[in-house]
Amino acid sequence: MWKKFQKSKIQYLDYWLLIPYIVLCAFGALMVYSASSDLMSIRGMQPDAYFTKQLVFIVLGFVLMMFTYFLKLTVLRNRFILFGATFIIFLGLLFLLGFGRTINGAAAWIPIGPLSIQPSEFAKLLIVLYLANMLAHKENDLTEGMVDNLKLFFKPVLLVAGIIFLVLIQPDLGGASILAAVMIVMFFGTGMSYWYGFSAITLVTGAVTLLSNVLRHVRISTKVTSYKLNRILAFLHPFKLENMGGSQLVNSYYAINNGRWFGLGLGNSIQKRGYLPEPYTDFILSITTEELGVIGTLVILGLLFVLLARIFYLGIHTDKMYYTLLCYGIGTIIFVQTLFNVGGLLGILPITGVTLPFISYGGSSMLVLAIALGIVLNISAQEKKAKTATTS
Amino acid sequence: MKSVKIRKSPRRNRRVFGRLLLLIIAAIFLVFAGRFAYIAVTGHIAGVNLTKRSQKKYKADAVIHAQRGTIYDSLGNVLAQDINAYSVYAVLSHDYVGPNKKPLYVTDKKKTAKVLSHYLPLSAAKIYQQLTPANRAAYQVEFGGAGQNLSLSIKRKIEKEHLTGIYFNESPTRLYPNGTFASHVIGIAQAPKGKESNNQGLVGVMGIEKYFNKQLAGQDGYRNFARDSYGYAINQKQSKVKTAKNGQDVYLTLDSRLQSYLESLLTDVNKKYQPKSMNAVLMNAKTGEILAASQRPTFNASTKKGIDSIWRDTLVEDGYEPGSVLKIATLAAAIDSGHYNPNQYYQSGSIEVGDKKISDWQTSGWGMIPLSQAFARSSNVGMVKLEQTMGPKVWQEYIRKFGFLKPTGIKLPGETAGTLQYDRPLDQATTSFGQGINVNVMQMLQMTSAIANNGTMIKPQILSGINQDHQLKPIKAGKPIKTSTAKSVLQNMEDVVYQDYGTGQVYQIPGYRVAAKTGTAQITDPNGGYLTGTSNYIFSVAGIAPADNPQYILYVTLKQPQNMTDSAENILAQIFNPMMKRALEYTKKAEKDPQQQVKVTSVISESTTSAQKKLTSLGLQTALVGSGNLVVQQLPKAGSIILPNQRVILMTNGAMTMPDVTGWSKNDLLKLAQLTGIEIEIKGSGYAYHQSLAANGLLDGVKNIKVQLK
Repeated sequence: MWKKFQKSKIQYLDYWLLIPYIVLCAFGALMVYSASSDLMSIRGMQPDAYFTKQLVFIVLGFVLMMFTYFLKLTVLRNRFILFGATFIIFLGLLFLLGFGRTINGAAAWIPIGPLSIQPSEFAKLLIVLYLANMLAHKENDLTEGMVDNLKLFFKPVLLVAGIIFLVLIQPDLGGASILAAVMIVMFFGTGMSYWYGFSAITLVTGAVTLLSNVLRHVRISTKVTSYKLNRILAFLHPFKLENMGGSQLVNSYYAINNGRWFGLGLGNSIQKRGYLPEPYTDFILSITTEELGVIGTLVILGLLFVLLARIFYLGIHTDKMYYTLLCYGIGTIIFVQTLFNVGGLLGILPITGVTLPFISYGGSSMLVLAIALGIVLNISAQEKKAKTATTS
Repeated sequence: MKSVKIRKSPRRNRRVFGRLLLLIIAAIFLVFAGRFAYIAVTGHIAGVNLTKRSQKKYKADAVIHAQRGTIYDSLGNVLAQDINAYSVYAVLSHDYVGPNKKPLYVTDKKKTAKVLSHYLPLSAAKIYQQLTPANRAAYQVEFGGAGQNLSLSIKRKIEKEHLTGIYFNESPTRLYPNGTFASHVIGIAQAPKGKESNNQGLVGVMGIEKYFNKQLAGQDGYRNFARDSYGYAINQKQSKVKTAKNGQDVYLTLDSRLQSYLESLLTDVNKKYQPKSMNAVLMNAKTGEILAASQRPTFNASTKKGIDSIWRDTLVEDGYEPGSVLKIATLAAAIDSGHYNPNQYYQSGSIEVGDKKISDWQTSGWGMIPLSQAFARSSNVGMVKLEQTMGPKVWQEYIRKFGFLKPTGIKLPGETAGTLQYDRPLDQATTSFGQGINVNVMQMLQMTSAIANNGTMIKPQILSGINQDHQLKPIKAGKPIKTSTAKSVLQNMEDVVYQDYGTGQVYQIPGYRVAAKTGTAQITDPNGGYLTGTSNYIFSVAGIAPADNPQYILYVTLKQPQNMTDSAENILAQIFNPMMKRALEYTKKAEKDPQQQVKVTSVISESTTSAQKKLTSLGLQTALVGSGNLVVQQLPKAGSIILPNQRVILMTNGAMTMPDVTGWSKNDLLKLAQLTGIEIEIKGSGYAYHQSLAANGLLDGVKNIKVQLK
């Protein structure tokens, strides 16, 4: 029976999701190798050390994705599982706050055997699952008004806000912003008048624009003491603050400029050799542009957009609020991460240390994204199945 | 009815909201694409040309820096050397993390402080204090002077401790190991100000460093391909390398032993009497080699303390009226031109020239005295008489012959030529006792050398050579006077010291015959005329010793002592007498047992076998530390003068190993300790017979070795 079901589910695989995902992962692994191999050999490590690790994570991710795909989605709404997972994440974050500082500072990872787990990465997906479940449960009580909905969803939103707060004081501003964005999108995506959501987004965008314009006119100090502020301001005056946190952006510009339309050729980046820190994580797209040109980067951005468009398409077209919220939430994770990463290396946003989905080196992120895609694939299959059921 | 509507509209709202989001996402992706294209195509951000800027950076990184040459003294001791110095800093900001947010900042401050305290001259508590600054937002901290100028070996040792958050900055630094040591003569080289110093070599800005900057600096090489910041070539196929031409070594005539002694004498006098300035130069009378030279105020070249007090090398850059020491020239000219009758009597005290009265320093004079006493008594009137007998033309000719009014050509920057005021008879007369003529210290030494060398003048030289070729050749600067003239002037200079009427009796050195001339020169008042007051003079002495076979010329000047608790002669004698004596003793010792000394040659970078062969042929013993095949360090250093049969310890490449120290002296063991940096505990006296670490044992990580002597 189970086997038959599995077989039948294979035919519902959504290639609009699967193919961009596989191509992006392959692209990512290739660029991780190109960007890290020189650094590795200089540090006296195997040149393919990160590449091999990334491949392992991609394969592991793929397995997890297929597992999630074949899973019954109702499992993810199981109270015990959800609460259990939330509890573990909470504990993990508290652990980092309490002991993390004395053992390894504010590092956002917990070592478990040979792996190190970043609770905040898993928190992203968990918040999506948790909110989707809690909000969808109250589908019947929904109204169009914001205040009513706020009352309705007060408890889950408060809990999520608590988690965001824990991430924020880690301190991980980038991670907290992503979580906040997910929460806001899912809250306004419940079904209240879209004008509220529209207004909220306009408000946030307006505030950010205003703030950056105000900051642009702040007189920059070149004192070492104001380093933290300078690091945030660096993206506005990268050349003035080159020695005060602006050098990453300047070197990112150099990389993009070196690449032009068609790039220097794979493996030929200059900037990856010590000029750009961590060329295989935060600045992997700068290195990609340098080696494969703007064209290569547009291919990656295009694939990411196809993926996002498909996820939102599924969310828009399903009748089930739970599915919609899952799609919007997962789409938002991928989008906001892309926004922060690409915006940072282009000098549009401050550099927050957020990785580029599917491309950057990083285990936790890769696994979480794979599971998330598994969920979306699952939704897609369910929808297709339902469609074929009604038409037949 | 109502409930239906409510249920339907949330779904519609969700859909509209989703489409809205997708629209925003599409818009942002378009912005990204545009921004990428913009940066790549225009190459300009905020008015900065990215291509130009990055190419400049790559090009700068492609420079291969030439190493600046070393400056040695005549014994081969290092006076100035290029080293890579390191300064340590600690990153505290928790923002500084690697992949997986791995901390790259200091995580364990207590441990870090403890470990660092083993290598820095700071206590663990003090380091901990630095690591926990009051300003919690501090990104990184340094450790002041204690964390700077670290050697490569200290840096490596700290690195081996694997402390997180501890990093180093490397900078080429000019090391002046002797501190206050002919500082203005040797000068300094420093990174040019106002430029990015890491891409610039050092530039000599003073003294020998400046004069020989071109030779010392060498020529930077380059790789004509872009390089990454680790120094690896980006495309090895196109590599065209022009290797750096390292700077040449400069060998000076200075003798470190005498120079150090002179510095300490000057420092003492400077402290006690606080003169406005002092100059002192010791020259080899026969060869013109400057053996020791210094000035006050000066500075400490290794700490740069005091460097802003004066930037001039006053030995060559300052022109001044020498006063009575110039009477050496006056007397020599008169004798040489046949205008000197020692038995002619004259009325001392004062003389009218033109409408002005010229007085002796003792204004009442000494009555009618013979001209033979005029020099020893330093009588101005006597000298004016000589000048008047010679006539201005003859006297001026001798001024020229003695090398005044043109630079001596000593290889130091900014040597002044000097000036002469010679229009009126009064001017011509005052020149005879050193007024109205401007000279520099080197010119005075050169003039005096004619007296010491039977009339032949020798050029003062500071450079003995560049690179391997450093055999100094004495340069004759003409023969202004006859041999006989030189002899009688020398006799007159002896009278200054040994006649009961001589002005320089204080300069007698028991055991040696000294010839000298004292001077008390007035200082021109900027407001016209000359300054008055007991201390407002340039006091000076020029001496030759031994008088029967001149070896050394010592010239000391002292300007305006602010704390004149002693007579000028007595102050000068505190420098002149011990300095001259020390120099004379060196000669005596060298003459006594010329065979008893060996000059160690440099065997660094040679194979151990050839090094041992070389040193053995000099009559020295050798001992190897390490089992490599190349010598990387030696002690005693090249140029050191040691006794035969002494041990030269050679450190080889590769791991350090313990030599068999049986039969070694305490002195040898101390050398071993100095070379390896390992503490050696010595018990007993005599020669070593037992060592706690067996021969050929590894020295790495060993902190303490016990050796017993008997």
